[in-house]
Amino acid sequence: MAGEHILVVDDDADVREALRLMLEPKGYKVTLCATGPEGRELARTRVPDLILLDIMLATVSEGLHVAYELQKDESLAHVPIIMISSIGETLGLDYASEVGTDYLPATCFLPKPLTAAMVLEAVEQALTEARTEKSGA
Amino acid sequence: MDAVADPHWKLLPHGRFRVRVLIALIQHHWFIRLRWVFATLATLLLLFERLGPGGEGRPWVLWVVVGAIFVVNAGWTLVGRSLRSVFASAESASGIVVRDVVVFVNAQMAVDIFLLTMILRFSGGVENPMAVFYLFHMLIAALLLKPLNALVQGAWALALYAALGIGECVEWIRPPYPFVGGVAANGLHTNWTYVLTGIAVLAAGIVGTLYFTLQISLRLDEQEAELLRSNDALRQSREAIEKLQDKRLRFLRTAAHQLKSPLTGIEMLAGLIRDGVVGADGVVHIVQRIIGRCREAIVQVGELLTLARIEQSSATRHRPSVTRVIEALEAIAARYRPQAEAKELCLATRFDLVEQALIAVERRDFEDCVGNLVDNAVKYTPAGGTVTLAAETQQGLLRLTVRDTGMGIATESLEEIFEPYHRGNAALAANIPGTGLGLSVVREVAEQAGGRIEVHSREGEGSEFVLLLPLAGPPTSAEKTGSSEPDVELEGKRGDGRAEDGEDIGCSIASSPGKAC
Repeated sequence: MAGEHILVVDDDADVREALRLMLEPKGYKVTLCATGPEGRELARTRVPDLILLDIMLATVSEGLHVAYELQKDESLAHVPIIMISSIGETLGLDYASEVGTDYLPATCFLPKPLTAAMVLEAVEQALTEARTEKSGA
Repeated sequence: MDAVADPHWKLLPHGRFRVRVLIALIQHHWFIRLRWVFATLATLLLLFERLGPGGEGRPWVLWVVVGAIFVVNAGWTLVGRSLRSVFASAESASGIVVRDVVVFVNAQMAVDIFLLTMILRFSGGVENPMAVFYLFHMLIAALLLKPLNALVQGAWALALYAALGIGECVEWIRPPYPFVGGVAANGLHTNWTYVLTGIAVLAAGIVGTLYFTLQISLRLDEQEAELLRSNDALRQSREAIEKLQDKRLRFLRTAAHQLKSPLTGIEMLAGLIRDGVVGADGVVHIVQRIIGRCREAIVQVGELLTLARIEQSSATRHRPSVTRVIEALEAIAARYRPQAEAKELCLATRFDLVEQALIAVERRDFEDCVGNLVDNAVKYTPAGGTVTLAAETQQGLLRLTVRDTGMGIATESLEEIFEPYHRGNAALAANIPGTGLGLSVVREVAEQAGGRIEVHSREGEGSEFVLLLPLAGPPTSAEKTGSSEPDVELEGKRGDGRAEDGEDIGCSIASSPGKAC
C-alpha cells in the first residue's frame, strides 16, 4: 500500500540505494541509514511501518542486537522487521529456519542478493499482516 | 608428580622412568615375591641335601636363618600393604610416599645383604662362592636408586663380608662351617692371602657392577630428559600451529564474506537493470556504482594480499632487511601530498633524526604501514584540516607520529580499530570508503618488527597515531653488497657519495627540510 514508511538499515551504500530504487517507485516512503545506533534512533523518533534490517553492520551480529532492542521497546514491538544478510550462506547458518524465534525476532528473512520481486513481495506481505493484526487484535 | 617443590624427591634418581619402575615394583610387591621364591628354593636345596647321601652336615642355625627369611618377608608384606593404600598409582605418588618407598627399598636390601652374609657364615664363609649374590643387589641398587644410595648399600655389603672373612680368619667368629656339607672345612679361611683376595675380588665386583650399571642408568636418564624436551617442544609448536590455524580460519571466513559484499552488491545492482527497476536514464548511474564496487573489491584483494605477504614474510625471513627512514618517509609524504592538496588539507612533515637512521623493516612493509596511517588521516579529515607526519628517535626507538584534525575515534572503539574489517560508525555514516584492513596491516608490521602502535583520539577533534619501531644498526658488509635474496632490500647503495657513511653517525642530525604549512 502506498505511503507507508519503511526504514532501511544497512552499511552497504549500494544496498541502500538499490532498496530505495525498488521501493520509492511503488509509493513507499523510504528512510536510509547506515549504522545500528542511527537505525535505533530513527526507529524511535519516526516509528516506521516496517524496518529492513541488515544483520551484519559494523560488527558481525549487530543487526540482531538492534532487533532485540526494538522488540523490547513497547512502542516499537509491533513494527515488522525483515532481516537481510548474505552471512547465512557463508557461515553455514540457516537463518531462514530461525525466523520468528527469540534468536531471530523478525517476520521474515531475505538472503542477499536481493531482487526487486523478492523485496516487494516480502514487504507487502509483512505490511498486510501487520495491518490485519492491528485491526484484528 | 611435582618434583620441584617437594624435597623428598631428592631421595630418588633424576630419571622419571626409573622412578616409576621402582614405585611400580614396590606396588606389586616384586621384591617380596622374589624373596619368597628364593627362600623356598633355599629350603628345597637344604632338604634335598639333607635327604641325600651324607646329609647331616648342615648346622641347625642355617635352617633358622632360612626360616628368618620367611618371617622377615612376612613382615615386609605387612609394611608393603600399608604403603599400597597410600598411593593410587605410580603417577600420583606424593613426596611423603616417595620417602617411604626409598626407606622401604633400602631396608629390604640392607636386611637381605645381612641375611645373605648370615647364610654365608653358616656355609663356608669366604670359601662359599655364593658371595656373588651380593652383586644382584648391586645391580638393582644401581638401576633403581640414586648413585650415593647404591654406594652405601655396596659399602654395607663389603663391610659385612670383610667382617665375616677377617673374623673367621682371626677366629673371632667361631666355629667355621664347611661349604660342602659333611666335608671338613679345608682351612682356606685361615689363609690371609685367600681371605684378603676374596674380599678384594668382591670389592672389585661391587665397584665394577655399581660403576657400569650406574653409567648406563645415567645415560638412560639423559636420553629420557632429551625425549621429554623434544616432546615439550613438539607440543608447544603444535599449540602454536593450532592457534595460528584458528586465527587464519577466522580471518579467512571474514575475508570471504567481506569480498562477497562487493560482489553481491554488483549482482544486485545489475539485477535492478535486468528487472527494469531503473529506467534507461537511471542505468548509467547504476553502472557507475557497479564500476565503483569493482574497484573497491580490487583494492580489498590488494590489501588482503599485503596482509598475507606481511604475515608470511615473518616466517620465511632469513636475514632482516633494513630501510632508511628518511628516504621512505619522504616517499610516503610525496605520494599522499596530491590527495591532501585536492582536499585542501595541509600535509606537514617534521623529521628530527639522522639521515642514516635505519629500521629493521622491509621497505614495502614500512611504506604500507605508514602509508595506511597517512591515508587514514587524509581520508578522515575534512577540508581545511591538517595532517602532520613527524619522526624522531627516542632511546633507540623510532617514534613516528601521524596526527590529524579529523573526525576522531570513539573511545570505546580504540581497541577494536586494529581488528580486521572494523569500520567506525562515523566513517560508515559519512560514507567514507575503506576496507577496514588498513590498521590491521599497521599493527601486524609494528608487532613483527618488535615495536607497537598507540592511538590517542577525541571524537570530533582528531586523532594521533604513534608508531614505535626499534632502530637498526648500520648495515653489515654482507647486506651492503646486496645479495640476490628477494627479502633483503637494503635502501641506499654503497659508495653513493655520502660523506657520513660509517663515520660520525651521531653528529649529523639532519633535520630534513621539514615542510610546514
